[in-house]
Amino acid sequence: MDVAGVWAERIARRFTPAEASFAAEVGMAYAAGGSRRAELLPDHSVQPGAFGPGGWAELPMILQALAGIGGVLKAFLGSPQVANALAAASLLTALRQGRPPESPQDPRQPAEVRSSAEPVDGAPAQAGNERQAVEQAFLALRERLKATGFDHVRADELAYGLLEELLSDTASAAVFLDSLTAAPDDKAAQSRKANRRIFGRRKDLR
Amino acid sequence: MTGGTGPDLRGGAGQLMPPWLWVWLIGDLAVLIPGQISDERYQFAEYTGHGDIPGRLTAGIPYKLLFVFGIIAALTYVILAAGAVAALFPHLRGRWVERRFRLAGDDRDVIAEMQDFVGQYDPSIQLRVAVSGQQLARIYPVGWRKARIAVFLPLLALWYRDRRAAQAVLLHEIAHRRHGDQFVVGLGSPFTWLIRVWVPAFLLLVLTPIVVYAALGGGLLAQAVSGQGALELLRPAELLILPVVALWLAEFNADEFATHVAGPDALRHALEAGRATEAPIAARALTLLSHPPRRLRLRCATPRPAATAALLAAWPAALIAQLGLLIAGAFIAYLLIGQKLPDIGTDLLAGTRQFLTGNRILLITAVILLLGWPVLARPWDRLWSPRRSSAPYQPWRPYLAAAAVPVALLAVSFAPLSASYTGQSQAQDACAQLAAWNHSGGMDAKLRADSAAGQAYQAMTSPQDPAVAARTLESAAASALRDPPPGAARDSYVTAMTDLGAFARDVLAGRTAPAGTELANGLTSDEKASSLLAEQIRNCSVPVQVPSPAVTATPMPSTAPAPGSAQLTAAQLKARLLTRADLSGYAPTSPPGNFPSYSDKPACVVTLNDLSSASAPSAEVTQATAAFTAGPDGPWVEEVARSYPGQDAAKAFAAAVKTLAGCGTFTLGRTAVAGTESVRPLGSVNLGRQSWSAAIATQTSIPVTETLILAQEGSSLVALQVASAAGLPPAGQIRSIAAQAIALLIR
Repeated sequence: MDVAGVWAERIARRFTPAEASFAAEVGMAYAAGGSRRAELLPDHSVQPGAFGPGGWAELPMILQALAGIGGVLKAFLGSPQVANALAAASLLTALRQGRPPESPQDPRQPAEVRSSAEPVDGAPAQAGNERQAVEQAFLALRERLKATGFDHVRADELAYGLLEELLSDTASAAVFLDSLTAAPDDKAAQSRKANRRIFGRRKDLR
Repeated sequence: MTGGTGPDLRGGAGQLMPPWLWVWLIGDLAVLIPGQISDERYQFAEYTGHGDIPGRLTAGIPYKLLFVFGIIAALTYVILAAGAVAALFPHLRGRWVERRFRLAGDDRDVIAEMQDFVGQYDPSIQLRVAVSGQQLARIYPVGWRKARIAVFLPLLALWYRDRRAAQAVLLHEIAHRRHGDQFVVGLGSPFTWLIRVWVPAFLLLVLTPIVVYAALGGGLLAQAVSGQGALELLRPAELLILPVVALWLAEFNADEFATHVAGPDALRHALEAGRATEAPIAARALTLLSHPPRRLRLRCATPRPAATAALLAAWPAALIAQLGLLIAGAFIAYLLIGQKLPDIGTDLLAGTRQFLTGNRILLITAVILLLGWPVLARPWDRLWSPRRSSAPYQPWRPYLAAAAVPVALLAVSFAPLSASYTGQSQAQDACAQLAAWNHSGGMDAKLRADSAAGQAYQAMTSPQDPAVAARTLESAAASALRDPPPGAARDSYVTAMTDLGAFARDVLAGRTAPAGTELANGLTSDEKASSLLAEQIRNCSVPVQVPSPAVTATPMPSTAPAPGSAQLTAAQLKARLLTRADLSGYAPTSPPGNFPSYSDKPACVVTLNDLSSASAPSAEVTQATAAFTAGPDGPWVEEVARSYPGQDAAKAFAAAVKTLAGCGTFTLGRTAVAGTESVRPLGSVNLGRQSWSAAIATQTSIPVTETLILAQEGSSLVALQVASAAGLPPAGQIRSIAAQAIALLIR
């Protein structure tokens, strides 16, 4: 099993246990790119069955979100601010504890993030730039997850958890993120998406 | 029920619905499509000038558009037939589906659990897994009695999140298999794919030529052509009603099985699961071609006796919807060709009767299936699935109630409704016979005989041996006699061919004296026959009601246009005027515009001036003029061609004739009397729909004589005036010019 499979299984076991059985295959298919990746994602041009696409499998969408901001996350994981993974994880935990669990009621509104200068209750004081880097990575990932189709609460929860996982093994995580973006998307699928964009169905796209 | 207590197959195990998909497939392939092909062939012959409509009429763009529409509509049959034929190769489809979706067997726990569940209801069904997130689960055939279910990632997730909903999904697919639907529906179904692709393609193919035609300034289609176009454009919708309803009912049937076994809530949850990914409107609209709307399925998920009876009656009721669409299309078409409302009513009743009569076999099949289904359901189930159903028989009552619909339709088909269309009786039958005679080569045989007679006559009057020509004539006349035309021309025709044959035999026998008499008699009769035939052909170039084949879904009459029935634009008129090439020895000229305005009979002067006017009498009328001269003293030929809306051409013709016929001699001048003019009516010259001619003499400083010919055909009116100060051409020549003008105008 390659790194994408390992990480996909790891993510699935924590966040989407219902999809854990085939998580490794999903990860490898995503990393393979092309049509194998395209088939993991909803596509309304596909002839539906009696029950339509029947709700998404979440794992491919999580992988898509991670791949979508892979560069940002890799930069974050490789930055001096998180050189000490433990410190970064600690910061993340502090950030999480300092935020109400379901803060914004309106999912269309951007998440309210405390100013980096503002101290987080119960958390040790940290350098402002470290805290800012963690916050930025969190916000980027959460917004990407929301854009992928997750609701605000789920995106919030996933963003924290995924960052925790990535920070737990930054070197392997960087390789994993690389694997998600190494292979290109399916050209035909891209073309279909472009066509839809032309016809004003932008909202269906990720 | 399920989920640990084992399967419950009570109450019919999903065989609620008769196999309407199969009924449609067999009925369409065996009966309907062959009938439609015959109908389309007839239409194509019409649109290309090989039918009853003269080629000069079908050469225009409106008929070319009709031809294109006809081709596109006919492609619907091809698509339906291709989808149905493709359903007959389940092995190939199974192999293709597994390669296309990368389906593979798997023994992981979740798959094993699902397989155990499926095995309780149909142990012959195997599961295959696709690492794909685009669907839930779909049945597909891998042989005539083997099927598999493709399981996708979302179903694996649903299996953990909502086990009963996931089971409902699988039960739905199992029900398809046990109903024999998997050949037509399911994963990789060529039939549903073709329908989904064809509907938007049809719209594009139809709209594109219309838009291009309009963009090029083609104007409105001729009324009658529009009528036929409306029928053509609605035909695919009529054709799709039955298969789409059959597909919907197959889904309802599968839902019923899932509801029966897993409960209505499980099916509701399964249907709700799809809401997470709301598709775009276009995708949802296309989905409706193969699946009923989710809301309707949610409503039907709660079993109710009345709803069950309604679902059972839906298939025969679809025939009523098809008839409704047919009537709507025909109604529009009749309105477009300007038919009167009472006549439309009569024709629609006749069409309804023809439709119901043509669908009797289908109705009888529906009655038998509905009444027998409580018993037939088990053997049908066993046909596809090795598992024996232990379910009790279905209750009879809903089936009896549903059977009332086809029984009622069947009864109406035997009702004494009028079977003939308006004006179809004698005149239309005569035209149909004439068309049939023409199609069978009757006219060709006559032309060959005429040609042979001409050659024989030439041979008789020249030094060459007439025997060869006489043999040819004898053979041609005998051939023509074998297939005489129907109607008024028949007697003259038979006499002519008999005499010409006798002439040929006399020539061969060297009997010169009787040969001359027989040739003269033959040619006289032949001329009469030709004249009568021309009259018949002209009269029959109105829409011909040719009965459709016995079994057809589109029994409404053809609405092919009458020649020249649509109003022409000024540009079209101009293009159809006489040209220099039509008038040997004449050169184009500009007619004078200084008309007399003073007269003791002003109406006569106004009418004559109007027939020479350079401009149309009103904005609704289009006009084009041409004038030629053979010399300074004439003859001058002036053609004024006008095209009127609706029936106004006939009215204008009648008004002009009425005025001019009563003119006699009258004075004329510009401000005072400068001379006299007289109009002497000469009557019809047998041109167009109606014609009238007059000899006109003007006595002023230079006497001028003139022949005026007025002719009306369809929306067009031609005034041809041939005038001269030095003597007119022969009357026959003037008539020929007028005939040419009319022929050009209605081409």
